[in-house]
Amino acid sequence: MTTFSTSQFKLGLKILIDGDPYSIVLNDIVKPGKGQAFNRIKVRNLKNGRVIEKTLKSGESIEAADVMEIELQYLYNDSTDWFFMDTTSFEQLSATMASVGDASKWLKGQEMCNVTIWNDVPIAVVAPNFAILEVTETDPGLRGDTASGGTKPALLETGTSVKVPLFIETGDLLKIDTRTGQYVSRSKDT
Amino acid sequence: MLEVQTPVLNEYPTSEPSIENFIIENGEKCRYLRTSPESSLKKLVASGIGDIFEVGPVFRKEEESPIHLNEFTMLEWYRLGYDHKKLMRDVELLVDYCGGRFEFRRVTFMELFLEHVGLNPHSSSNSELSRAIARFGWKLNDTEKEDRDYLLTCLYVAGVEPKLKAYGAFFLTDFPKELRAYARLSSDRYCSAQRFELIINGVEVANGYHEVIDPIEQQHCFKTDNETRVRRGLTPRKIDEGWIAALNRGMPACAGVAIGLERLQMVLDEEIIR
Repeated sequence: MTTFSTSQFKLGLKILIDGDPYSIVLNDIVKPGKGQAFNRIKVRNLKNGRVIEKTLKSGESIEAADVMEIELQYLYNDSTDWFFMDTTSFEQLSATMASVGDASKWLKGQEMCNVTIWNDVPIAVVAPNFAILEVTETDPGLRGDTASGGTKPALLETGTSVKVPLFIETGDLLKIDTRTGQYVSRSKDT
Repeated sequence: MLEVQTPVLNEYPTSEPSIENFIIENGEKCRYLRTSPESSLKKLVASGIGDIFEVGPVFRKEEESPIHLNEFTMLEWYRLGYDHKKLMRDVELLVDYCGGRFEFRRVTFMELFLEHVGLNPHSSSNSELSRAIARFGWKLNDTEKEDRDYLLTCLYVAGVEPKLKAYGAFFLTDFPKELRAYARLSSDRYCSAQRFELIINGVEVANGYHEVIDPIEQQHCFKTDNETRVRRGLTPRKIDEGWIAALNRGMPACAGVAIGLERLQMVLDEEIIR
């Protein structure tokens, strides 16, 4: 079991708190008056992204979390498990729907994803920043209306609905920013 | 008021249980970089020099952070015939003079604890304090549960300190006697310590005492400090007998305060030291 003492704390360090893996996002020293020193840290839960604050007595140790981030290619899903592949070793890993999370809205296959692995199990998946996806259903386009600024819903091939400008037609390829879930432009890519 | 300059390299380490010196080795001898000029200045005050101040570097061996430098600049001064209340006015005038435009409040340790921890820091039992700490999710061992100074510090860090930014500039006063350091005790029912800290936007800037001048009382403080260290598994410090001898020669009643100048500059600039 690897442990880190508070003096080894730095941003990005992966530690275990109450059985969950966390990443340190802030490390402050608190040393009141004539008293002992404490480390007040903010940590992000790597499974759900929630940030919590924790205070430790300086010199205390905390267990390291065996966490790494790797690029894996998304292959397919069978609705309960999502399958990814290491493109150098061709090893396959499966992730639960919960750990794929919002990335599932944008993945159709082949994408290289940033996957967080904890004790050899994927716990979080980040889709590429931009996805190119086909519109499978939307109201007929208002050709030429590129200026009115109105929007309408469009269903994408992954089953996700996004707001798009009125001129978008079924069958168009759209570029979507996966970090915000917003339409960016039409895409010429295939 | 006279400006003085006292040695940076000292024969004795600090007696404060939670502060560590950088140690300089010279053959068989050890010398200590001062963590404050307190002992030297008190010896001068006891010699009859009158009101004095010193500005100079001090060193603390601890983990660094934006508000904890291993070397920083301390301004420390002593006023004969002053008590802590009068000295706080002195500190206000200095901060005003440096360009601070603050409304200085006075807040007692008890007010902060009642508000943010829900306990009286003077009269709550050790087990009440321990239970409150457990509610913050901290685990204590059996030794820590009887270490009242530590229990109060834990609750201060967990419950009080995160709320201090909202208080602006204020003097924290009437410390529990366990946190007296070298301040006199009041004759109120809690024997609270005549110590203050100036806290500005959550940052401690100054610490002052109505000074202990009775050599027996001072010796008792040193003994308590070393007992604290032993209880925490640390080596006890050798006592600076010259300090006690100076008080024995007759120390005038006085109050003293130390200000971290980089921190004062920082809160005045609302910036980080570096």
